[in-house]
Amino acid sequence: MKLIANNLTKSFAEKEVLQSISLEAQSGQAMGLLGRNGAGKTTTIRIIMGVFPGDSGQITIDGEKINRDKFKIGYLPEERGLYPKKEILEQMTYLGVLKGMNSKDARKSSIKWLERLGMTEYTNKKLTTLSKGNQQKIQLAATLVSNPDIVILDEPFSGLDPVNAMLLKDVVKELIVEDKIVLFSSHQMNYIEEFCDNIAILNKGKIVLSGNLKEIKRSYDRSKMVVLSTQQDKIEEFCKTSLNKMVVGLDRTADGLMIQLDSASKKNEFLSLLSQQNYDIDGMYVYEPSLNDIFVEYTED
Amino acid sequence: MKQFINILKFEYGTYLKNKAFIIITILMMLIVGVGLTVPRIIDMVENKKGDTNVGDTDVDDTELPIVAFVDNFSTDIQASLTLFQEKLPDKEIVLVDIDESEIKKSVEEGKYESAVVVTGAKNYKYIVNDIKMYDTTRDSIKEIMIYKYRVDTMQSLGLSMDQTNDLLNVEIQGEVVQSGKDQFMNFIYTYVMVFALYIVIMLYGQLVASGVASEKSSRAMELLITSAKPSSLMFGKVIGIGLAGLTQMVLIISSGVISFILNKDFIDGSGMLSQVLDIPASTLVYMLIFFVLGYFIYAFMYAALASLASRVEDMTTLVMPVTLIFVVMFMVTMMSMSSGNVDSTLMKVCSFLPITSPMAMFVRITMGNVKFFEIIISIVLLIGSTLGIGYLASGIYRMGVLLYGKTPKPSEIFKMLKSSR
Repeated sequence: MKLIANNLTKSFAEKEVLQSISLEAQSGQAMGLLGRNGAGKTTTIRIIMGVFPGDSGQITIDGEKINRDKFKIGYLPEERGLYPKKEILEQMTYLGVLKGMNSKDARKSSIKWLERLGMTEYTNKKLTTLSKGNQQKIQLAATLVSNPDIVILDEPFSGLDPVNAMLLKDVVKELIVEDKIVLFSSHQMNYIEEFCDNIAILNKGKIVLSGNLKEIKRSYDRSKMVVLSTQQDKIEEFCKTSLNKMVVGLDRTADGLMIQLDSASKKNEFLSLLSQQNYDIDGMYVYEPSLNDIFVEYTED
Repeated sequence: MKQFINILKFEYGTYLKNKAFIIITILMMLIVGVGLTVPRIIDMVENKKGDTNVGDTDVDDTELPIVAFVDNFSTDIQASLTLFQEKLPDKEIVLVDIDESEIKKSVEEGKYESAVVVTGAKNYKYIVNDIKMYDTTRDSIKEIMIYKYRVDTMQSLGLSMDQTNDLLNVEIQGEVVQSGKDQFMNFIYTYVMVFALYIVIMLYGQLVASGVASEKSSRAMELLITSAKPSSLMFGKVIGIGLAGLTQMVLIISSGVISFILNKDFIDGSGMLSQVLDIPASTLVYMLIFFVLGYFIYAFMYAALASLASRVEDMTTLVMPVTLIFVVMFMVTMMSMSSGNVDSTLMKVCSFLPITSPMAMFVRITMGNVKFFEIIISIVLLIGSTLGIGYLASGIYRMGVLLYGKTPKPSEIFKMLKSSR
């Protein structure tokens, strides 16, 4: 199953919020939708969910126009919200019914998800009586009640303690294994790196970068080396004096000594020259930018 | 459609299961039911010592209160006593021959309920412990004294007994030919109905508004809007609450009706109330039509405006204009009713304007002169506008529920409405 959004545009009262957004998400994979606040993520998600139509562009599943009765979408909104004064099972069942289930199935599915998330004891409690973290889990359960084919998670990890975060990670991994399309939106880059094979970075209503995360990282110039050593001073000195032809930049970072070569092809030469010096070197690798760096690079003003 | 039914069921159930809603309903049922039983309870308490057979109002069985009678003036004291007894059939008049201070004492002690001391042709004293709220004896005695004075004077002028009786007990044969409506009789039930209409629209309209606003402020809307069509959400809510309100009203009215039937003899001995409540069926039909349409047109406006609020507090400000219009319309209607002129130009205009017609036209139907085709025009206009406002409201609602932050200005709302079409 493949979800494609093609050339979506949307304006609100003459303000262009989305300018030709195109996305692809494959079932059995998670796709990370990144962007700064106000970049257009929520609008994109809402168009995918059919809350309102885009001004132009289409959304297709396996080449056919999306039929939201056939393909159910589960949505965990960034702004969490359910009925505060209603019993948990009752409102989960209601949300399942709204998604087209009959009430018996919705009830069964609600109970199943409450069990999976370890929330059974709260089945007949009112939402307000729960702690924030537990409300968060209920919200997730409510997202998944309808057994959706497409799961959209907006900042799913915010407010969860490490144990609950682990539980959520397991659930997300299960969803991926179950061949669902998972759309992931978060500002916590480590989670995106952990789950998402593909990413799309939105900035000011445009996709500024999209594709396979590994390939994106690999596409960066591989001429930067990181050297881990207890003798950083000496190595730095050596680079400045003897290797000043190939080393064009030096930087001490928390990761280690960052050495910028003038070209990636000089890597081997650099390695052999350095190893001849017999410094105590713990490790050496080609630097790859983190998703965080990539994100900042593409979305900085 | 299925979705709409589900939402409707959910909303209806929400209120039926709501504790405050249940408590208010039961409380109102009790107030109405017990309230109508109060006359019976009073009757029971008062007749307790007299007889255990409470419902029986047979006069002969019960002991009549004794009224002491002293006449220091009339020549024929016996005739005077007979006259008093005749005119006060529910009292036992006893002639006594003791002085005033002693009578006072006896009345205080409860030996006599009260006492009448005739001291002159136009003078008397009425001695009583407490004057009750509805003490008719006081007025009766005054009337008897006037009657007696007239009889005595006419006879002293030389008229025979028959002549005086003829003069004093003259019976005039008259007949009222009524071509319009009896405004007085209609006034009472119209008043009650207009008041009920006011309360229903205000109460349930506000319930719709706060329902929408709280769904938005709790952000439950984020999920709802991605699960169901906004129009289903709005219509489901408005109709659901309407049905809940109808259920509540039916329960309260039934409680009143049952209580009224059970206690009819005690409340309505004279049959006056039954006469007032003898409402023509057509009026009830009109009432239902205006109740339903009035509720919908206002509930739609409330829902649309409340959808623009980010928080419940903002909602109150947003719906204020609608509430104000409604209150003004209520006052205008009430004032026209009490002035008796329900067919004034203002009321005529109001009875066709859809926002004001549910009350104004209803009052004109029951108390004024209005032609059948005028009623039909008014209802058709109202139905048309209700549908129109429902359509507009669902458009505003659709955008409103996704708006957070600053409340949009009216001009912005129009712009959005236009661009969303």
